[in-house]
Order: sequence, then structure tokens, then C-alpha cells
Amino acid sequence: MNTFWNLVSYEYKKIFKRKGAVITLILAAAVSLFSVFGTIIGYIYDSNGEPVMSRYDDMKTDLEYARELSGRAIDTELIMEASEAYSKLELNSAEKYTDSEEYENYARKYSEIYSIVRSVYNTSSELFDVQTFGNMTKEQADNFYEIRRQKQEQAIMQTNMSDAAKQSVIGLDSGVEKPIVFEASEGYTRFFAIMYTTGIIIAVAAAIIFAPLFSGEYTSGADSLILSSKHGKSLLVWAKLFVSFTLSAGLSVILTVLTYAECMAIWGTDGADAAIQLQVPMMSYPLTMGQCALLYSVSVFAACIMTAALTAMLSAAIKTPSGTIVIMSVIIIAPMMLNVSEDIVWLYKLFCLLPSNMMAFWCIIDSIQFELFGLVIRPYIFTPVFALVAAVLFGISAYRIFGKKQVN
Amino acid sequence: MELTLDRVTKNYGSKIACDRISLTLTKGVYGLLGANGAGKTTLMRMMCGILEPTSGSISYDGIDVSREEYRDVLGYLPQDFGYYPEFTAQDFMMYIAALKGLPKAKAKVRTTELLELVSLKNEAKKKIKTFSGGMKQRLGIAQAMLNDPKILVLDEPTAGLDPKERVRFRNLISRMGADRIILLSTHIVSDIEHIADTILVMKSGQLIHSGSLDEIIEVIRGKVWECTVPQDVADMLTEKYPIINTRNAAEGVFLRLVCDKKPCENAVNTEATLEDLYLYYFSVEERTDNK
Ligand SMILES: Nc1ncnc2c1ncn2[C@@H]1O[C@H](COP(=O)(O)OP(=O)(O)O)[C@@H](O)[C@H]1O
Ligand SMILES: [Mg+2]
Repeated sequence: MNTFWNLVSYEYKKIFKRKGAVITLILAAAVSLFSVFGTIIGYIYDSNGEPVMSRYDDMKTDLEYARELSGRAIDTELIMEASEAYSKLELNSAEKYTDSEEYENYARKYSEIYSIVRSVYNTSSELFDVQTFGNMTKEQADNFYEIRRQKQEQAIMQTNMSDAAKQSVIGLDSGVEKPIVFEASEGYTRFFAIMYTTGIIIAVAAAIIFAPLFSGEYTSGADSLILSSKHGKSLLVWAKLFVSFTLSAGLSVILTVLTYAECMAIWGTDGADAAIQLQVPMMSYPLTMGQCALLYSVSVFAACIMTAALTAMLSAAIKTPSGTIVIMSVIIIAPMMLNVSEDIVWLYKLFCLLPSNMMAFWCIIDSIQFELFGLVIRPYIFTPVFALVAAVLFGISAYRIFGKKQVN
Repeated sequence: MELTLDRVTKNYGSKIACDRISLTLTKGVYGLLGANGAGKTTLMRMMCGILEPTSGSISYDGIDVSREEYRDVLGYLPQDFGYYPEFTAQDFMMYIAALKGLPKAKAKVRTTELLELVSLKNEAKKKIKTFSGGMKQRLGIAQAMLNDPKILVLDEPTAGLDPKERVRFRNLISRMGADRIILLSTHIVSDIEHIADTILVMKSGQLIHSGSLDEIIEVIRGKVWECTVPQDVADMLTEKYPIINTRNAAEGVFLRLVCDKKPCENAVNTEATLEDLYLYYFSVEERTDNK
């Protein structure tokens, strides 16, 4: 066991003696910080290009409005109250309605309510715009949850999931408490958005740091010494894999906690117990923002471990670190530019299992379920389990490949 | 203590780098002699488990070369290999010791001993990237010995060493050969002439001779001649026989050559050396190549 820890410490030493690895770590932290603070730095400009107020103050105002409504149920009363406020807007095409005085004075307070009800009332034939909202009837408001239910059911029935999966997803919504209670939860909204960037940063950093894990030995020429030494084909390989696991896990935990802390510090900690439906109104999972944040973080964590393990395996198989970096870049970046239709469910779900998609919130709380051997598995369960199993398999492959490496 | 090679063969495509090599090595120093490209490095890689033979097997007292127990008793100096340039000599030795499974305390003692032995004691704390070729080579020799190996495989260990270092190295190997198997390759005859108990001669992937110095030389004993002849005679002899040495002298051309019988009137039979044998094979190859 002593030998193992000794080898682990040398592997860490090798990584941190490489300037590239250290620079990557610093850059990752810097980019992650900037992706949060970048959104509140700067000013809001009016149509003449004059600064009106800082983005930070603007954000504060929204936050206060949201907090004023916190705790109120989204029911007929609140919807009509919001509609009333929106009816005061004098709409003309010359000016964006959000720039108007009436918006500032009456409607802005309810902007969050508008964005929630909009996604329920929107139909493919008729856009539920500001004007429609201002003119809506009490009857429409009364039917809010019924319309939501119908629309949700319709959307799920339209997918190509199995019937069992469809029923299971539709059934979930009975667990969502109604009426949904409004809660300020901007911190979580931001966290769900920014964690994607954080996840990609961790994945890229892991790819760069671990690309030379094995192939660095090939290029340095130390492989003949290592592979002819007692532990070179066994314990050392586990030590290397252990390092890639712990370092990527550490990186992932630190950057996730950092992102979370920043979001909470800037946009407030409110909303941990609020329903996720405030953020995605059509969703049927009975989950809170806090639970979603945890499930999402676990998925990102597992995805990072998988990315590191995949990098390690490629590093063992490919002669040079740059080869691994190129392949990993394609694997991480290409899916961000692709779109796979949900019509072919299996292909679409496979697409969701690529590292960068595992780090996207929409893939984790997707309504389309994973189905395997007749089981219907929630994406937020399946994704991390899959990632960890894949990581183990990649690790074992790396072990096999390195142990069989021929020096010639 | 027996290292057995049984019809070990390595092909690279249609090129046969090692051709059915069978050998049994026991305690002692073995010198593997062969020109560049003869297949020495390929053979040694297979003996160290980092290259799988195309066919044939290698084992030590019944332990297959692919096993951890085999590597546990192995010390290997590869012909060319990489160091971690940012590591100091001390770091490097400690790291290899960890790879070989030495406990830290023992590793420290061995590192100090061995660095002293290869005269790198004062450079122990210096980064390897500041080392000269000879210093790196000595460090390579030191790391091979860390685990006090039963099988020590050294691929061109004297490359980059200066004459003084060569002598020190030879003495070291002679001392160590008493209780282990040492195999060292070289294309320089004088490296092994006096320290190898057994000489193995490789040519084009084949093991063409193996035996003690005396046995090996037997092939050309009594067949080495020296003479000084006019230019035209010299040309004629060069055409016909393997020439080991030639130089212009005042009275004509001095020749040292291999021939079954006296090649010319004034030829004098001289004692054969390993160098003669080596050059004999080497020149036979060249002469057939030229045809
Ligand atoms: N990786 C390889 N691919 C193809 N041919 C090789 C390879 N390695 C060695 N060889 C060939 O095998 C022969 C033996 O090489 P080597 O074992 O390095 O000889 P030596 O160490 O005696 O100089 C050479 O002809 C060489 O060209
Ligand atoms: Mg060689």
C-alpha cells in the first residue's frame, strides 16, 4: 500500500511539474469566475447609447421584485393581478415595451409571473404575447393548471417513447404540488445555466491535463524503464488512474462549489425549496430547485470523471498527447454544434450521453426517459450511473492497453 | 538461476529482427556482440518484457517474462530512453525505486550508494536536464541496479562513457557478475573482451556463435596473418581474403588478414583476437554485400 501512495505522489509531481497543467488549472478557475461575474459587469444603455444604470443595480431591482412576490401561490388571483399590470402597457412598435415607463412602474414586478404563464398559454398557432396577457380573461386564468396538464400530456404523447415510459412521465406530475408557489430563485436559475460552462471547462481542463498521463511516458521515452519495472504494468497504472480520478473529482467539486457559491452570493440563496416548475413550467418531475441543483451537480461530477477516464484510455492508446487532445476536443466540442432529433429516441438518448451533453441541464431533467431492458430510468439517475460505469470500463481498458504496450 | 530463451523470434513485417534464438544463461557475464542492426536491442527488449516475441518463449527459473515476479528480479538499461528533465538525479532514482517496489528507507540508502558508485554523488541534487550524455548514461546504469537484480540487461552501457569511465564500468561489472546473470550488448569488442565469461555473436538476427573467448576465437585461430607487401600484391590479397587491418608502411602495404593457409611468402602467423573475429565476420558481410 505504501508503494501505491508513493507512486501516486510521483504522478501528482509529474503533473504539477508540467507548466501546461498548472496554466490550465489557473485558466479554468479564471474562466469559471468570469462566466459568473461577466453577467453583472457593465451598464445598461438606452436607445441613445447613454448608460442608464449598472447591470448589477438592474439585477438587484429584479431580485427585489421577485422577493416581493415570494410565497404567493400562482393562482387565478396572482395571474389576474399580473395581467392587470400588463394591460397598463401602451404598446407601440417604436419602442421596446421593456423600455417604457409603464413597464417600470407596473408590469416589471410581474415579469417572472409572465414568463411562467407564457410557456403554458403559448400554442403553436398563437403566441401568448404581452398584449394577449394584458387582455386575458379570468376563465383562462382559472384554467391555468388544466391547460398546463393537457399541453404536457400532449407533448409527452407526441414523443416516441414507449407507452410505459409515457405513462410514467405523465404520472409524475401528480407529485407536483398545485398551485405552484412562487419563490424568488434567480440564484438557481443562473446556477443551472452557468454550470454548463463550468462543466465544459472542467472537461476541457481534464482532457488537457490527462492527455499525457500515459502517452507522456511514450514521448519522453521513459516507457521502457517503466514497463520493465516490477510495478510498471500494474500498480503504477492504478496509481495513474487514481490520480486522474481524484484530480478530476477535486477539480469538479471545487469548480461546482465555486459556481454555486458565486450564484448564491450574487443572486441570493432564495428558492432552494421552490418547485423546479418555476423555471421549467411544463416539467413533470416533482423536484425542488435544490434537489435539481444536487442532481445536476452529481451528473456533472460523473461526466467529468468519465471524461478524465476516457482521456486516460486514449492517452494509453495513442502515441502522443496532442493526438489525445485533438480527439477529446472533437468529442467535447462537436456535440455542442450538433442537434439530434428526438424522433429516433435511442439515437437522441445516446447523444445525451456524450460528455458535453451530460453537463447540460436540459439533458439531466429531460422528459424523455432512458429505457433499458424494459426499465424506465430517469435521466438524472441514468446519466451519472452510466458515466461512472463507463469511467470504470475506460479505466480497465487503459490498464489493459498500457500493460500490453510494445516498445519498438 | 537459469534464464532460458527458446526459439525466440521477432518479425517486423517481412524483416526478421531476431531469428529463432535459443539460449540458456546462468550466473556470469555475457557479452552480446553484433554490428548495428544485428538485432541486439530487439532481443534485449524481449528479454525485458517490453516487446512480445512473434514466437518463442523466455523464462527465468520457470517464471515467464511477462510476469511481475520476473520484472521483480530484472534490471534493465535500455539503449535509448527518456528521463524526466525536471527531476533531479536523486528524484529519478527514488522514483524508479518506487516503481521497483523498494521501501522508501531502503530506496534512499541504495540511491546514495549507487550514485556514489557511478560518481554522481555531487550531482544528486541537480536536474537531469543539466546532465551530459555520459552522466545520463551513468545514471541509467545506477537505476538498473537499484533492486539488486538477479538478471541485469544492459544495452550498449558504455555508449557515451569516456575511457576512464569505461574502465570503472568494466571493473564494476566483473565484480557484480559473481552472483547474477549479466547480459551486455556492444559493438565495441574491447568492452567485453576481458570481462565476459561468455561471448554471444549476433548477425542479421541470428546467433552465430556463443562460447568463451577461447572457444569463439577457435574459428580463426592460426588463420590470422600479417605481412608487408607491394601495392599490387596487396590489391590481389584484398580481393581474395578478409582484411582486418591495412596501413601504408615504408616498404609497401602492411596487411592483417584471415586466411586458411599462408597467403604469401613473407606472411607471419599471429595470435587471433576477438577483434579479428568480429572484423572477420563484418568484412565477410561487406564482401558479400559488394558482390
Ligand atoms: N520498430 C521496428 N520496425 C521495423 N524494424 C525494426 C524495428 N525495430 C528494429 N527494427 C529492425 O530490426 C533490426 C534489428 O534492430 P536492433 O535490434 O535495433 O539492432 P541492434 O540493437 O543490434 O543495432 C534492424 O534491422 C532494424 O531496422
Ligand atoms: Mg541496439
